[in-house]
Amino acid sequence: MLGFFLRRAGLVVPTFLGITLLVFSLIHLIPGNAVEALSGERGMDPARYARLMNEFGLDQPLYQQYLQYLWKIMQGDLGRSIITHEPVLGEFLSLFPATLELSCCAMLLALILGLPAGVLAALKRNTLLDYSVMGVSLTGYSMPIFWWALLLILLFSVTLGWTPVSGRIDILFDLPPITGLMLIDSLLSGESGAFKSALSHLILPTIALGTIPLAVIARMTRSAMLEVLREDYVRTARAKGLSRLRVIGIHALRNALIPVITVIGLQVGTLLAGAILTETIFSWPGVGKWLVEAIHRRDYPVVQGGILLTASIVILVNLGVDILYGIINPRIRRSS
Amino acid sequence: MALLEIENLSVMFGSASRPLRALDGLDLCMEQGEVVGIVGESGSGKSTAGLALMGLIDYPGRVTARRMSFADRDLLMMPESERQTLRGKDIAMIFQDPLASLNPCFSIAYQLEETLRVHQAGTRAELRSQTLALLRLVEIPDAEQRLDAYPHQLSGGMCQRVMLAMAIACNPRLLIADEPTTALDVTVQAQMLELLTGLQKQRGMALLLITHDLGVVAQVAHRVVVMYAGQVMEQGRVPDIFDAPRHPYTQALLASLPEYNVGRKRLATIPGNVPSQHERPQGCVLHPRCSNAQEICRTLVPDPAEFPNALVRCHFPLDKTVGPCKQNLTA
Ligand SMILES: Nc1ncnc2c1ncn2[C@@H]1O[C@H](COP(=O)(O)OP(=O)(O)OP(=O)(O)O)[C@@H](O)[C@H]1O
Ligand SMILES: [Mg+2]
Repeated sequence: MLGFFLRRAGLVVPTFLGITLLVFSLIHLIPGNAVEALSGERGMDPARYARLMNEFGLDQPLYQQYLQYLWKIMQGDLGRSIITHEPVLGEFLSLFPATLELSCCAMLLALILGLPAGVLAALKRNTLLDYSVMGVSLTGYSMPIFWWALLLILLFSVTLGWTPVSGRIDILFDLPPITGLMLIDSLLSGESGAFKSALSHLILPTIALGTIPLAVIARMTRSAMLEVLREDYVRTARAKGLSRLRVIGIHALRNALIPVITVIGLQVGTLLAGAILTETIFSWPGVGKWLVEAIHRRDYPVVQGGILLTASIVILVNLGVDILYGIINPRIRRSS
Repeated sequence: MALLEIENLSVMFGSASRPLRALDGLDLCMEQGEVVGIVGESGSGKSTAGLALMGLIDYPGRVTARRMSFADRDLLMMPESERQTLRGKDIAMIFQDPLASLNPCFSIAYQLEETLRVHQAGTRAELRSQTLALLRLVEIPDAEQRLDAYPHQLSGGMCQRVMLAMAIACNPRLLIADEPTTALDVTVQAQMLELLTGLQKQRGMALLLITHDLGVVAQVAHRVVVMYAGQVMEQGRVPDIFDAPRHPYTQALLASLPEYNVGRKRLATIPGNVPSQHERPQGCVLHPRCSNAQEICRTLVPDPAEFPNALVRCHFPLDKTVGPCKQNLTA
C-alpha cells in the first residue's frame, strides 16, 4: 500500500513542474512587452524601464528566471496583483472557500442523484425509466453551462422569483468569515434567516455546475452496473441467500464503483473549469470570477498564480482519487 | 418421502411468440444422501436445471413445472422471501469458474462470514472461528493466513475449496455442484472430487453433480440423468445404465469413453453437434444424429417410457442384451 502511494505521489512532481513551466512561459508568450505586462504601466521612461527589468529579474537568462520563479513559488510568493497590489496567494486563499463550497455542493448533488439514477437505470434496463434517465442525462451533458445557467435564472429567479439572482448571501447580512464557507458561517453567526439566505443563493449555481458531472456519473454508473450484474460473483451472492438489496448495494455496487471513481476524479477538472463560468454568471465571489476579471484587466501575476494554484488543486484531488481507487480495489492494492 | 421431487420442469427463454426451451420436461427425484449425476454435451440445459432448482432463473426466463417440492415444501408456491432463506441454507450451489464466482472486492473471511451471518445468529468471534473451521474442513493449508486473503491471491483450486466451504457452511441438505472441477488443473480435479464426495458422505447431504464426464459419474454417482438439447434422454441407476444403456445417445456417449476404446487408434465420436435452441428438430431431438432413426422419430416426440429402475425417451429403446459398442451411431 505504501509503495502504491509513493508511486502515485511521485507522479505529482513532474506534473507540477510541467505546469510551472507553462505558467512561466505565459508572460513571455503574450504579445508586447513583459515589463509592461507585469507592471501594468505603459510608455515609461528608459530609466524606470531598466529598473523594473531588474526588479522583475527579466534581464537575466531565461533558465535563471525560471529557477528563480520556482524558488519563489516554493516560498509561497506568487507575486502581487497589478491592480490591488495584494499578494496573489492571499487573495486566492480568501476567495477559494467560496469556490470550494460551490464545487463540493455541485459534486455532492451529482453523486447523490447520479449514483442512484445510474443504479436504477441499470436494474430497469430497457424500460421507460432507463430511457428517461439516460435521455435526461444526455441532454444535461450536452447543455452549455452558461446557457443552462441563464435558463435557470430566467425561470426560477426572474419568472417565479424563488431564488436570488447573484451573490452568496443577502447584502443585509454582514457575517464575519470564520470558515469561509457561507453555509457554515451563516449557521455559526446565529443570525436568523442567514442560513436560509445562504442556501437559497447556493441552489441555482449548484444545479448549473453539477449538471454535467451528474450526467457523466449517472451514465458511467449505469454501464458499470450493467457489466457487474452479469458477473458470476453476483450469482454467487444470490445463491448464498442474500437479500436483493445486499446483492445490489454491496456486492454489485462495490465493484461498479471502481470505474465510477476514476470518472469522478476526471470530473474535478471539468468542475473547476465550469466554476469559472458559473461564478461569472452568478457573480459568485470565488476564484473563477477572480480569474476571469484578472484576464479582462490583464492582471498577469494573478492569472499566472491563479492558474498555477487551480491546476495544483486538480492534481492533488486526482492523487486523492487514485489513492481511494487503491483502497476500494484490492487487486490494485495488493498486486503492486 | 423423497427430499426433492420434480415433475415436468421446463425453463423457457426468448419471447412469448418465439420461446426457446432451455430445459424441457425434467423429472427428477432425489433421496436424502443420494448422489445424482447430470451429464450431457454443452448447451443441453444442465446449468439451467441447477439454477432453476435454486430459483435463480431471471426474467425473461420462465420456469414452469407440474410439481416441484423440496423436503415436503412446495417450491412453486413459495413466496420469494421464503425461497431466499432456503437458498444457501438448505439448498446450496457451487459453480464452474471458482475465481469468477468469488467477489474480488471482499476478503475470503468476509464472504464466508456473510453466508453464516444471513442464516444464523452469532457473535463476531463465533463467526470468525466457524469460518476458520470451515476453511480447515475443506483442507485449505495455512487457513489462518488465508482468512484475510482476497480471491485473486488464491489458485483456482483454493477458490473452489472456498466456494465449497461457503456452500456447506449452513449444512445444506442438497448441494448442487455445476461442473465443479472443469475449470481446475487436471492434477487437482481428483482431489476436489474426493473432497466433495467425502463431505457429501460425512454430512449425508444429497449431491446433484453436473458434469460432462461420464467417468466421474461412474465413480461417484448412484443415479445418472443423461440430457440432450434440454430433454432427458435416459435416467436410471448407474450400474444398470453403464452396463446396458437403453438409449442410443447414452450408448454413443459411453462408446466415446476412453475405457471403451482400448486398442483403437481413434476415439469413437458422435457425429454432428447439439442443435442450437433456435433449430430444434421436429420429432425426437436426437434423430438427425441417430443411426437408428425411423420415420416416426422425425415426426413424433417420444414420451419417457418406464423400465425397471429407468426412464427412457426413445421410440426404439435398445435391447438390454446388447452391450455398448455393439451398435454404433453414424451420421
Ligand atoms: N439467460 C439465458 N438467456 C437465454 N438463453 C439461455 C440463458 N441461459 C441459458 N440459455 C440457453 O439455454 C441452453 C442451455 O444452457 P445451459 O447453460 O443450461 O447448458 P449446459 O448444459 O450447462 O452447458 P455447458 O456444459 O456449456 O455448461 C443453451 O442453449 C443456452 O444458450
Ligand atoms: Mg453449464
